[in-house]
Formats: sequence, C-alpha cells, structure tokens
Amino acid sequence: MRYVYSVIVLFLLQLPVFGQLTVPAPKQEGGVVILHAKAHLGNGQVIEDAAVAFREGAITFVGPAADWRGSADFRVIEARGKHLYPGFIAANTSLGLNEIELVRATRDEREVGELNPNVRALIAYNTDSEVIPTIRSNGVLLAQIVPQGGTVAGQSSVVQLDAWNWEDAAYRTDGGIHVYWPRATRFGFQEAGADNTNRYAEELAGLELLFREAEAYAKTKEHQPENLKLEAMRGLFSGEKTLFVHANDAKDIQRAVLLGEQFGLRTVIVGGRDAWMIAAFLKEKQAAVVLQKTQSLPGREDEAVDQPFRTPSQLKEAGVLFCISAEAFWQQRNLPFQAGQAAGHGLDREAAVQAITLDAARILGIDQTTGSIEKGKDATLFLSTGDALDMRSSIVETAFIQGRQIDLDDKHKALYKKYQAKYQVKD
Amino acid sequence: MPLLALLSFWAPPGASGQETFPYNGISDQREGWYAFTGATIYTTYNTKLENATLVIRQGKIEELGENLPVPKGAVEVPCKGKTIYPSFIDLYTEYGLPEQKPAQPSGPRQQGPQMLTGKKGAFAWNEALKPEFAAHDNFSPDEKTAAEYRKLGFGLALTHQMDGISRGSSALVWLGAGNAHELVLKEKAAHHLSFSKGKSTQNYPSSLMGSIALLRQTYHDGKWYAVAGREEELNLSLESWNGLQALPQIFEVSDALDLLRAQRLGKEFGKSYIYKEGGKAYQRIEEIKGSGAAIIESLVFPEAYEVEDPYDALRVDLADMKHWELAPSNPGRLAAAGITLALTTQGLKNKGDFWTNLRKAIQHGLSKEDALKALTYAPANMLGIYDQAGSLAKGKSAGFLITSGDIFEPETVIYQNWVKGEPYILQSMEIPAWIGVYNLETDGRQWPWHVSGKPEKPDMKIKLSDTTDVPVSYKYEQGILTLSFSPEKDKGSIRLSGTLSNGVWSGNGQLETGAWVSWKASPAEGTPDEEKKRDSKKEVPPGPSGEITYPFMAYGWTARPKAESVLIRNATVWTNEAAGIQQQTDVLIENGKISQVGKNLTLKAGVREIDATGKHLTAGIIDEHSHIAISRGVNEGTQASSAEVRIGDVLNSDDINIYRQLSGGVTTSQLLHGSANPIGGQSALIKLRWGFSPEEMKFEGAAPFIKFALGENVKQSNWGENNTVRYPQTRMGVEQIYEDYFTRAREYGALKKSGKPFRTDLELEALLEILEDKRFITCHSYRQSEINMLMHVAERHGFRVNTFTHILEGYKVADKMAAHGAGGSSFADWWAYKFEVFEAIPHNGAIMHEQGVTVAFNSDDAEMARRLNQEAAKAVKYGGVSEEEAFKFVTLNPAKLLHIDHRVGSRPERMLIWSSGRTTRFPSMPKQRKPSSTAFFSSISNRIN
Repeated sequence: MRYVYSVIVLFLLQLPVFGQLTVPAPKQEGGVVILHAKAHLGNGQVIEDAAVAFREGAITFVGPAADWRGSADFRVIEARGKHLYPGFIAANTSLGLNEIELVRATRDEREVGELNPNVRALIAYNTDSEVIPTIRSNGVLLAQIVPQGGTVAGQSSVVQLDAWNWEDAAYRTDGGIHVYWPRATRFGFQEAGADNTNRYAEELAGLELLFREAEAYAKTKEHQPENLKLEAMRGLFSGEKTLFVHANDAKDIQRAVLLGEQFGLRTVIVGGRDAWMIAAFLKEKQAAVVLQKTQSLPGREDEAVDQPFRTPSQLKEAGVLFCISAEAFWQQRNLPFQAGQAAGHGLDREAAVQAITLDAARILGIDQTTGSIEKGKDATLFLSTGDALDMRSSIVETAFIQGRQIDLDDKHKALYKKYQAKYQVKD
Repeated sequence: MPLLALLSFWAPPGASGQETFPYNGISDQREGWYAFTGATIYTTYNTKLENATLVIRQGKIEELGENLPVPKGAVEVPCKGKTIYPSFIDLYTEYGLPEQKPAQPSGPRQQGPQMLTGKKGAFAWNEALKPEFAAHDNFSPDEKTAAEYRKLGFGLALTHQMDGISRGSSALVWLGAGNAHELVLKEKAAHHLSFSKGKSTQNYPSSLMGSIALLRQTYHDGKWYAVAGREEELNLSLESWNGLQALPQIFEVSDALDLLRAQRLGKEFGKSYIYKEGGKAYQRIEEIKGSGAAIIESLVFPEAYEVEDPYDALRVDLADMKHWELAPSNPGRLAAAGITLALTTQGLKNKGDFWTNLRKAIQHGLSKEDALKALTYAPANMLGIYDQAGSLAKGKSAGFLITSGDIFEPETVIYQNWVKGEPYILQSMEIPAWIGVYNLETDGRQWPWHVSGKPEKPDMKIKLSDTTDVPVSYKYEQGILTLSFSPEKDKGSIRLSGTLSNGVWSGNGQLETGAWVSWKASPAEGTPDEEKKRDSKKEVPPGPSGEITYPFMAYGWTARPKAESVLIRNATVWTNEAAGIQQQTDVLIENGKISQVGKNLTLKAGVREIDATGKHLTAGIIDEHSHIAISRGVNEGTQASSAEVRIGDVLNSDDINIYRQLSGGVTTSQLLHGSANPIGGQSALIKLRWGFSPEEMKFEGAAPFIKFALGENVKQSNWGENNTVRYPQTRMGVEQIYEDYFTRAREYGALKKSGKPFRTDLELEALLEILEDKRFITCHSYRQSEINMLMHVAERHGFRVNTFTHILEGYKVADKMAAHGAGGSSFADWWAYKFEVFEAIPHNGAIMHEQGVTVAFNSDDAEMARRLNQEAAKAVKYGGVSEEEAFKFVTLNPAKLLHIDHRVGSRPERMLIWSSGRTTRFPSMPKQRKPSSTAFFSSISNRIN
C-alpha cells in the first residue's frame, strides 16, 4: 500500500507542481497502532495517553498506551502530543450534489415537484467532487447526503468520503426520508401574527393524508397500479427508514414530532432553531435533533445575541439527543468549529466532540459500526496536531476510513504548493 | 345626490362677481349674505369669542365680533349654544386627480432593463421625475369624495399626484361643489417630492440611495439648465423644476430616519422641506426638533397584534409592539417638542376613522389647542395662505363649521360646513326636545321607546322586556322622523315615519309584513335607560413603560452612553505595536483615548476600575467589508456606474446587526455598496455607536472610499436570461468601462478648470476625486486576470488601487499587488459559491501577507462579522501566520487599509475585553466593548430570555 502511495506521489511530483488528484486508498493490510495520542473517544470519554489499534478496518484495541502489548504486525504511529478523534460526521449536507453554487449545471440537490419521496440522493453523489478532499482535510470522514426542495424532498444516504463511486461510498443506503415542513409564517407588514391562512392548513392536511395513504399502502405488496412514491415510503413504517423533518419554528417542530408519533415513526428534526424552547417536549417524545449551524444569527430581532451558540448546551442539559451540523457543502470543513463554538458557550468539550461523532451516528442510525473509538467499530479516525475544534490547532495529519489511510491532499493544498513555488517559498 | 340637488336650488353656483362661463337660464346670482348670531366662535386656534356674530357676504367674512347687530338684508342664522370653527385644511390628498399610470401603458412584459424614460415629449431622462405635472391642469371636482371630507370638517384640500420622486405641483382647492375653475384657491401651491419612484417602470433608481442621488443631481441640473443647459437640450422637466423651487416644498418620507435623510439633502441645497411623515417621527424627535422642521402627520395607528398564542407572539418584535403602544402619542409628542404640526386624513383605510384616531391622539397627549392648530393655522401657514384661510377674520374666506359644542368631544356633531360662503348641511340644527320614554303603539302592539343621551345625537331603543331591548335606527330631517327596528330577529323590520305634535309623535308606516299601519308614541313615565359608558373601550394613555429607546427596538437604551475614564487592571494586552502582547498590564483610558499603558498604574479619583485578570484586552475589530445598517438597497446596479450614490445617505441606525456585531467585538465597519456594477457607490465608515443617530455613527474625518467590482457580478453572469443587455457582459467590456469613465472624468476636470459653465456631474465628480487621490477604491475581485487589469488601468491613469476586497486569487498575483501598493481584504476560507471562486484557497491570506501585502479579513456577512477573531485564527491554520499577526488581519491591517491606523487598530482607542482565555479561541465573546471608551455593549445586557 505504501508503495502504491509513493508511486502516486512520485508521479505527481514530476508535474511542475503538486498534484490534486486524490486516489482512494485500498483495503487495510496489516495492523496499525496509534500510540500516546490524547484520544477523544466520541462517547464523552478521553484517554490522555492512549493506544488505539486496528486491523482489517476494525478497531481491535482501545486503552491506555501502558496496556498495549506490542505486536510486530502493527505499524506504529507515534502520536505523543497529538489528538486522536473518531471521524467527524457531517449530517444534513449537499456535499457531492453541488459543486459550484451559481453554476446550475453542477447542482443536483433539488428535484422539481412537491412530493419526491422516491428520489435518491445517493446516485447523484459525485465521489470525484473537488470539494470532498477539502472536507476530509479537517477531519470530516462521513456525511449524510440530503436532497432538498418541495415538501418531501427524497431519500438521504450516509457515505464515507473515500470512494471510487457512489456504490462503494454508500455507508447507509436510503436511510432517511426528508420532509421540509410547510411554513406558517407569511411575511407582510401588519400581519406578523400567526398565519392561519388556508394554505398552511391545507399543506398540513395534505401531508397527513400522504402519511395515512402511505401507511395503508405499506400494509400489502399487492397494488395496482404500483405507486413509486408510496412504495418509497414503505420503509418508514417498518422502521427501516428515519423520517427527517426540516423545521425551525417551535410549533412546527412540535407538530412534526406529533405527526411522527401518530404513525409510529422514528422522527428526527433537522434545523431545530427553536428546539431550546421546547427541550422538555423533545426529551419526553425522544425526538432527536440535527441542529442548524451553531454559528447562526438569532432567529428573531429580540432574541439573545448568543442564543444559537448556547442552544447545544441547553439541549444537552435537557437530555435531548442532538448533533451539530454545518449545512450546505463546502462549508462542511467548518463543522468542527461549529462544535467548537458550542464548546465555548457552555457545552462540555467532549460533549461537543460527541455532537459531531457518536451522537450524529446515533441519529443517522450508524452507531453500531462507527461514530466512536471503540473496540469492534470501524477504524474511521484521524490525528490532529492539536485541538481539532479550534481553528488554530486543527491540523489533520493522518486519517483513516475503515482502516484505510486516506490521501489528505486536496485542491487547496495543491494550489498552495503551486504558488509557493511561484514565490520560491521553501516548504 | 340629494345634497347637491338641494344646493343647486338653494344657492346656485357663481354666487358673486363676474365670470367667463356661460349660464343656461336666467341668472340667479345671490349675495350669500348671512349673519350667524349668538355663537361661540373660534376666530383662531387659540382665541374664541362668546355670544358673537359672524357676518359673511359674497363668500367672504364681512364682520366678526361680539354683540354685533344683524345687518338688514342678511339672513340670520341663530347659533345660540353652537360653536363655530374655521374649517379644516388637509394638505395631503389626491382629491379630484386622475389615477396615476405608468408612462408606458402595460403591454407584453418588456424583456431586459428599461434604461430611459418611456414618456413621450422632451422631458427628463428619468421617468420618476415629473415636475411638469400640475394638479390644477388635471383637477376635476368629485362631489362624492368632497362630501366625505366636508363631513369630517375639512373645507380645503391640497391635492397632488402621489407618484414619483419629483411629483410636480399641487393645487389648493375648495371642497365645495362646482366647476374646477371656481374651486381652485391656489394653483402651484407647493412642489411635492419623495424617495419613491412610484409608477415609473424605468430601472433607475432601484435603491433609496439611488433616489437620493437622482434628486441631488436634479438640483444641480436645474441650476445648469437655467444658466447654460438650454443651449444643449430642451428639457421641459428641468424647466418646470426650476419654476417650482420658490414654492413650499413638501417631502413625503416613511419614517424618522427618512426624514433626517431628506433634511440632509435639503441642507445641501438650502431647502427646508415640509415633511409628510409616516407616524414614526417620535422615534428621533431630538434630531428632528433641532432642524425646525414642519411635519404633516397622518393618524394611522397600527392595530393590535394577535399575541394570544405565546409562540405566535414571538413573530412580533418588540419594536412593533412598542410602535403599536406609542404611535397614538406621536402627534402629541411632536407638538410638545415645538415641531410645527399639520394633520391629514391620508393613509386611513377608512376616512371615518379620522375622528376616532384624532381623539385617540388627544387622549395620548395632543392638546386640543394643538389639534386645532394642526388643522387650521399650521397648514394655512405652511402654504402661505393664512391671509385667506386657517382662521376667521374680516376679509378672509368664509370657510367654517357650525358644531354643537367642543369639536373634539365624541358627542359633538358638526351641523354645517360652509365652504367659500356656501352651506353644506350635515345635520339639522333643529333638535326636538325628544329625550325621554315614550309608549309606542302600532298594530295593537305596545313597547316602551327610550330616547337617551345628548339631544343632537341620541341613542334610541325599544324595550321588549326588562332585560332585552332592540336598537332603533332613525333619521330626523326637517321635522320628519323615520324609525326602523326589528322586534323579532330575522322577521324583518318595522319602519315608521311621523311628526311631532304637542309632545306626541304620530304617523304611518309599514309592518314586517309590508302592511301599512298608523302609529303613535306618547310620553310615558320614567327616565330613559342611559347607554352604558364605554369606559372599557377607553384607551389607557402610555404609562411609565411608554419610554422611547434608542434605537427604537430590542436592546435600545434610554440613557445615552457617555464616555468615561476607566482603568483596566491586569489584562493581557495585545498592543498591535512593537511591544507585542503584554502580560498583566494596566491600561488607563481618559477622555476617550488611551492615556497610559503599563504596570501598576495609579487609580485617580473618578476613574472606574475594571479588573481584567485572566482576560485579554485588544483593539476593537474593524470590518473592512460590511453591508449592515443600510436602508433599502445595497446596490444601485441599474447602470454600469453608480458613482453618484452614497451609502452615507442611507445609514440605518436601527439595524439589530449593529448590536449583534458589537457583541462580537466589531467597533468600526466600512459599509460598502454591492458588487452589481463595475463602478459602484460611495462607501461609509461607521463606528458602531448603537442607538446614536446615523450622522453620529459616521467615523469623523474618515477618508472617502468608493466600491468597484469585477467579474461575474458586474457582467451579470448569474442574473438570468433577461439581463444580457447592459454593458458590460464580458471582462473585456469591464476594462473599457473603466477606461471610458476615467477618460471622461479627466476631461470633466479640465472643463471645470476652464471657467466655462458646466453641469456638476456627481458621477464624474467621484471619479475625478479618484484621479486626484482624494477618494480611494475598494474593489470586489476574484480572478487574477482582472485584478491585474485594474492595476494597469490605475497605473495608466496615475492612481493606485487602495484595496482589493474578496481578492480570492490574490495569492496568484500577490507580488504584483505588493508592487502596486494594493492591500487585500479577503475571506478566510470561502470558495465554491460561483465559478470564479473555484480556485480560491484558504491559504490566500497567508501568501499575500508573506508577499508584503497588507491583509485584512472581512465579513461581508452579518453572521460572520460576530466572530472575525475566529476567521483571523484560520490564517494560523492555513499558512501558519502567527497569532499576533493574524489578529492584526481584523484590527490594525483594516485600519491601515482605511487610512485610520493612526486613530484605531492598535493602542486601541476603541477596545475589547475578552472573557475567555485566548483571543482567537472560538468561544470568546467580548465581555464589554468600549468604543471611544463609551460602553455600548456589556455581556450582562444582552439577554432578554
């Protein structure tokens, strides 16, 4: 493997500058042990001087370095003074569906029509997107690729970020169906109060009817004609799929949770700007939240200026399961700093790590195999020279996805090198 | 129209004098000679006569005084117990004018922009300029509307077309019946202006600052046209414009900030406007008061918001709630502040609300005297016609109201409204003594009929039993009473008509079935049931909570922050100077400046001490590229150049983002025009003095800047298929735009020096300032080719590009930028949002910095601006800049780029105390901010939850 890697590097070095084509890594051969790092396990725990070993893509040992019994099969990575994290998980992103925002030809996240439960984000996910390597460079190694638009936008999948195509990228296929909750607010002067226009009520009634019909439809296989949309929703009622409802207003969130409850669905709120107002309700209903960016403006003119910074700690305190997201696509490289922002405003530092690792995995339904550094789980993890939630010290040196050491080069590093060459800066 | 029919019989039009119009029939000119006796007469808003006589003749007041004899030959109208007022004047109407239409009637929707006026004729280039419109040319009396005004007490209306930026002249017209030529008291009574382009379909102006720039240029054009312009062109609009300048100038504005904007504009050209304001002037009363402004206010008060549901109520801001609470106090507050106030019915959904709302304003502090003044003296005086109207005096027009008493009391009725000596009867003055209880009999049925309240406006009802009653609607005219009521619900009504004779009412009528019957009502025992007082409906005047905050919204203050002397102890001080970062150091601030930095400084008397142990002290953050605090449009992108527009004209001191950004450590922001065109508008530099007025927020003595832009935005790449017409559409064209404008600016400069007459061209003035190194460029830029191009253009024309902003490919040409002397104000890590930023890299700042370019990181984003410290920290990660140098990217370096580094950015004049460990660490939220050592934010005050 290392040979292959060096060949690539050599090949690229023959170009006048450093290359930018990252090649997906092959399967792990042999074992790797990372020694003496400060390991943030993702479940809230830290091991100050840790040994983490893995082979065949899975973690085989997690413990104090003192407890590690060396083995010749394991390549040793000396990591004293460094920080080890589980791969960060980007929930709710259009990564790979959107390359350049204003170039329509490069966008694939929004299909036309109001009801698209059958649409699948996974097959449009572009593993060759130039954006993906820049995200990995900051420790984000898994992502939930989410379609947008209309009321029911379609199905999301979780992918790992080092793949040749969407088939081998797929980590959890079509696991979520995404509903963008209708908005009650209609804008207009002197009409700032609740909007109880028929349109909103009709939209809600239509949504409920859709779920009623989908529920009935799911009870049998014999349908003539077969309806692709209702067919796609079948998994919601069997529990295979999660209902992700994008909603921000306190009342909309509650309505969405109650709808999920009515049909016995596993429901997750995405956005959840007002979740802090109804934390007790969310806890009681065991509804989870994929929180909007921590670095958001307050939702209202009158709201405390730092409310979005504090929302994660408030949810934590209330016992609500949540993860932190960064939205959009290229912005995912700042996901760690969204968590860091929360850590600065009352959220325990390891809880902040958990909010972009294990708790994200729980919400996305992948926590059995990933999301934390625990024996038996995937060896999806990375080493940073310092605190990875702090933008000064988050220098990701080495990263593994399922035991495969990935190439951390990206378009930006390549251009950086190219222009260092122009200015003859010694590296 | 029964009233009109009655009038033409009673008092034919053309009551006096000679006239040009032919008359069909036998002439019937009458003198209109009347004497109103025994009345209480308000001769002016603040003087009244008791038991006085008013004599009018031929439309004018002939005599007025106490105990005057009734002249022989005059009709006597006994007015004992009645009150006579001068009739009211409404200065803000479009009475009798046709509906406005766009210059080009609607056809198939035009593709692409409309760059010039669609109006036919030799008029102005811009369709929103309509000084040539004259109300008296278009006036056509409309009896229905006139009757509505008269019913409220108005006798005169100033009417104009409410469309456009210059709206032309208004006419002051009588609200009587008749032909246009008889009713116009004064043509060209005022010139009307606004910031709204109205029905114009032309693209320019698209922003508030564009409207202001258009007006400013038009003032200059008018002057030029009068001197030399006619030799160049025939411009009927400018001709008309010049003719209107000596008139009263009435300027419509939407709120207090708009009023201050118009006021600044007026000052430049020696104009003091009369403002028509939207009911929010009370929010900046101090600034308005100082200007000696006259204001026309409407009585539009917001309705209560629905706030029963606690979550729905969150959608209503504190500002909206406060305005709902205080809007009715606006007229009272203005009058009390000594501002000349006139009142108008304009804006009311239903004109009938005028009296309800006027009484509400009186309950909320407007004195009756000031109310009457605002309806009579003030409007007459504003138009310079007080010699003819606005009070009652010998020789003045006979325009007055006869009322049953104090006109501001709810039970008072207006009986008659005399317009230009002609009567309009609103209600009969003959009031029967009808208060009492009657036994009403008809068709073998009997009910007690209660008539209660004031005789001129009684309440009537039929008692069905002790506990149930039904209302009676009635009309009383010339001795005949009609009644209508429904004893049984949904069974139709009984309608009766009758007269009074010897205390008994009797007559005929129809039952529910339609059958004719006779009826009678004789006095019965007892006193009538009084209507329940509507106490519950009475508005409660604002109490102590009715305070005005600055700004008028959440987090506004009531006590103006003051500069103080402060000794900050034991902080880690980031000096941004050779001294570097100093541990456990004291900083003394006196008179808004840092007077000492050192260890163990002495605490003088009167100096507040702040313990900053474990905290960091830095210069305030400077955001080189911001778009907060700008009202109604960041771009005037309708033309390739909008160098004439000024952000400084449209500062919005009421933007919550000012407060939010203070919370993130920003103390100074450069507010830029957008990037819609190669030559944008002039920038404004502000200090975030939360709650101060827009003028007070401006950074004193700042160097003037202007925004330029390159690339996709200016060539309209992402504007859709309808925008492929405006030059330039390619980067090639962008260069030529610059070449062209700078060439013309140089020629303009030469013309100015030549001594020949010239048209002050505000667009070229700004460009000339660049050529003369008096104005500096901040240029939105991405790709290296165009960055290079602009530096070449600048060098050809002998100036320097001060700052490239965004400059995401600056790393490719950092050496050239350093050689040229341009700075770079960039994003830390943005990319992929459009094609031209697909090669943007986060190491950009570090590379430029290493190559000797002065590098800043800016926000361009209201959210990011709250954490520019973190954006600076990204330069540590991407490219390895030291923490100390990186922090200069958001403090000292932007100060250098803005030419204010001698005042801010180091040894900070405005400074921050950071609550947490290290300055660049993510969590930090500045604990207290002290711009000019005035605390505008402290972390204690930023929570309402």
